[in-house]
Amino acid sequence: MAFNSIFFFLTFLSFLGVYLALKSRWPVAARSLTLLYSYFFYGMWNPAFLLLIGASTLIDYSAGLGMSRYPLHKLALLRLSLFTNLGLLGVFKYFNFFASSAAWLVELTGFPVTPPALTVLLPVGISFYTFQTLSYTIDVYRGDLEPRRSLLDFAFYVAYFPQLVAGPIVRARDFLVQVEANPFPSAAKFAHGWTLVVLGLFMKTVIADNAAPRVDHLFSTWQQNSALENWAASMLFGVQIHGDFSGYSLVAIGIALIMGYDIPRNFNSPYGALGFSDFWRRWHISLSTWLRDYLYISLGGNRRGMRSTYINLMITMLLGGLWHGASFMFIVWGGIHGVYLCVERALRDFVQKRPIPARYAALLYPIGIVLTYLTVSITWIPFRAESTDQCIGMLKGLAFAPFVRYDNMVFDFGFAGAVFMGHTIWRNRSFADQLERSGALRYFVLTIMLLSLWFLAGERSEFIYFQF
Amino acid sequence: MNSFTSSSKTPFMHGWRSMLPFLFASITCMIGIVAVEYAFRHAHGVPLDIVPGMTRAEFQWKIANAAWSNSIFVIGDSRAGWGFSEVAFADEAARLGAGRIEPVNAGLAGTRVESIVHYLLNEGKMRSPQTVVINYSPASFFYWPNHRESVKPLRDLKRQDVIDDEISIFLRQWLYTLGRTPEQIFDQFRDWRSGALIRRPVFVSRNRYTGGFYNATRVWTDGAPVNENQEQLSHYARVVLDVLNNGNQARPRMLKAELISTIRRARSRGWHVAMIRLPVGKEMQKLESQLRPEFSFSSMAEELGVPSIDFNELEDTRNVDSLDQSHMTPESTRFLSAVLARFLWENVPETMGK
Repeated sequence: MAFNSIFFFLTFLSFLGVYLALKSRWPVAARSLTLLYSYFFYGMWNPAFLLLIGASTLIDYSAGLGMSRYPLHKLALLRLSLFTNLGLLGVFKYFNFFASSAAWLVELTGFPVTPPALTVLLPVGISFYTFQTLSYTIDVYRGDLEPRRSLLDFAFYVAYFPQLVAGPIVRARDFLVQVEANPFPSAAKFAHGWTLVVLGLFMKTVIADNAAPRVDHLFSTWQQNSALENWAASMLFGVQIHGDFSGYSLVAIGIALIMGYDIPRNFNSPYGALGFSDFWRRWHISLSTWLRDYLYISLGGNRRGMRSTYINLMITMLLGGLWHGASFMFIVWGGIHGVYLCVERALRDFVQKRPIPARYAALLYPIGIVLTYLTVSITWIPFRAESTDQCIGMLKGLAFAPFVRYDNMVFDFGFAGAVFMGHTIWRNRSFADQLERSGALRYFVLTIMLLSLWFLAGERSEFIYFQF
Repeated sequence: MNSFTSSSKTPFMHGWRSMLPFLFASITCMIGIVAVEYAFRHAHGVPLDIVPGMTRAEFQWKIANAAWSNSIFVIGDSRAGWGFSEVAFADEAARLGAGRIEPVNAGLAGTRVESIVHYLLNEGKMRSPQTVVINYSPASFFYWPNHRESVKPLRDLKRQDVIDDEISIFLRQWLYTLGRTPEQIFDQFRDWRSGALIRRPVFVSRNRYTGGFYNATRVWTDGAPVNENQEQLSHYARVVLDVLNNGNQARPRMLKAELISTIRRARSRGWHVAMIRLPVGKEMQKLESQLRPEFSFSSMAEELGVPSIDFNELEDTRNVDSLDQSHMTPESTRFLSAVLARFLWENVPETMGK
């Protein structure tokens, strides 16, 4: 199911009424009901995929218990969990990609090969819940988390519907304690949750869905685009994907709050970032912190010298790119961000040795934000491009296509510019937190957003991150 | 954890004042929407319009979930959507002793025939070839030249989208004077901003028949009933005039070439193709006769070399009742579908499991 639908809200409101009635007096019943609703929510895509979630849940639950019961076999059980989860991900998401890539490599040697193709649909959200369950087994292995005995609680954590299909990726150690505490939402929490839901729907249906037709158009005409159109395409896709994904995250966080749970924020004005490491502290925070804690640090992080740090950064970002989808374009996207991070680190070391005078530093601050925004925008081209030709053509076109005016230029740059300004203004403050604090502001903003949802929503479309 | 996380012992009404902004915002929003609606209605500006047939989501869901085993897809724009009864066809086929077949009304309002064939070929890429029966109507051919997008696949279509569609249509119909989709309201605002707030006919209710076909009711935006014959004819007269004024006919020729190429591709993939021409009224025929013969039904069928039947040529089908000279009444739809079953049985027996 998707959040931007009447059907979802009809079923959710019915579920919520029963859930709140059960929650205080019969918490186990409330959890069981939530689990059932979560499976229903997910099963609306394809009920067969529930088997995968079920398998993943059972294996990780058993692996966690096994680690506490048989400490000598902890590593073997961790490997079992990694093998199963990454194996399912590999088969369903990457099999065809790796098979065709291998065939391509063999063909380079002169032997024609027909790669085997798996004709199965990609289970929606598999990348998200795989990383969630892995965080549980890795934390139990590291001793950071006690294994859970309640299968219901663990299954609830894995399948909890607000963040099941597109995150935020919630860590077991943050969420399972909440499940066990069974917090009842206060009116304040309830109201703030609904505020976030409206804010998230606004981001998706008003911002992202109105940017989408322009993005589709600008990417479909890439062969005729002027340089400004290529820039507009990259910046507007940045607007679209941020509105789409942060909108989904806000609705997820809001729904969890309405039900009494806290899910960490996933975005924090990323286009107002100063530098690339700052960008990754603001963009898809739950994934970047997951990659940092479970991949980058496991690889050695920055503890083994400069060269090793750069290699680890590149590996992390390349795999982070691949996580998004089975395509070389995503790897290129991750690779460019890896290079950005390495260059930034090298520059930072250089600057630390030769400090910049304060008066220049103040000037460099806004320049740095704009440069970060523009360089991040460039990376959206490989992320969105449908072919290598299109990607290379549009990247080249950013600099070498003619700089001429075009129809809709004011709308395109005005839209992207307004979003950029918003992120820059709110870079040190959370808009959602401001809303929580001021009743008058909340009334004003909610009124504007509800009216916009009615009058200004774009054509309904699927959330982009569902494909990951 | 959030600063206001409450425990299981915190009473729900703790901090109840924080709900007031949400409540007041909702009330303000409702007042605002009602006020705007009232103002537009007062100015004859009711823009409600529903899809007079299957929606894109319903169409794609239907195609994706068809049996794809002896399926007979009858395609076209709303003329086919309103003019083919799956049940009447299946009943007649059974009476004739046909094998196991699955008639599918795949008429999509406002859509080019070529784009539907193209869509079916894509959907059927991994499945066995089926039968497609094309309702070729010059009206549709000239009227929907740029609507390939209308069957642009909706990605990852799922049951929820179809249910959403159903709810949305239900609400649109039910709340004729109250509820609109946000998109329509947006369109209304756009029209209003450009000073084009005019009295125009709109579809206000969609009727789905158990025989597997549709039709819809139209009214003017101020609620007055529309004279369907008059409206359809005057509208189509303008279309014909535009076509005649367009000297070299380059665009229609290109569209014809595209259609022929797509149909040939279907045949080369093993699909059975047949063409039909649902009947139109006399005035409509007169209008169509002004168009160049190269775009006529007979010319098209001859060029493709496919089995064809023009219901305007048959004694018992040329005078059936229509709603507006080119959309059938439910009774005519049932009757013509049975005739079509007999035609396929006699002329393309392999499609009927014979």
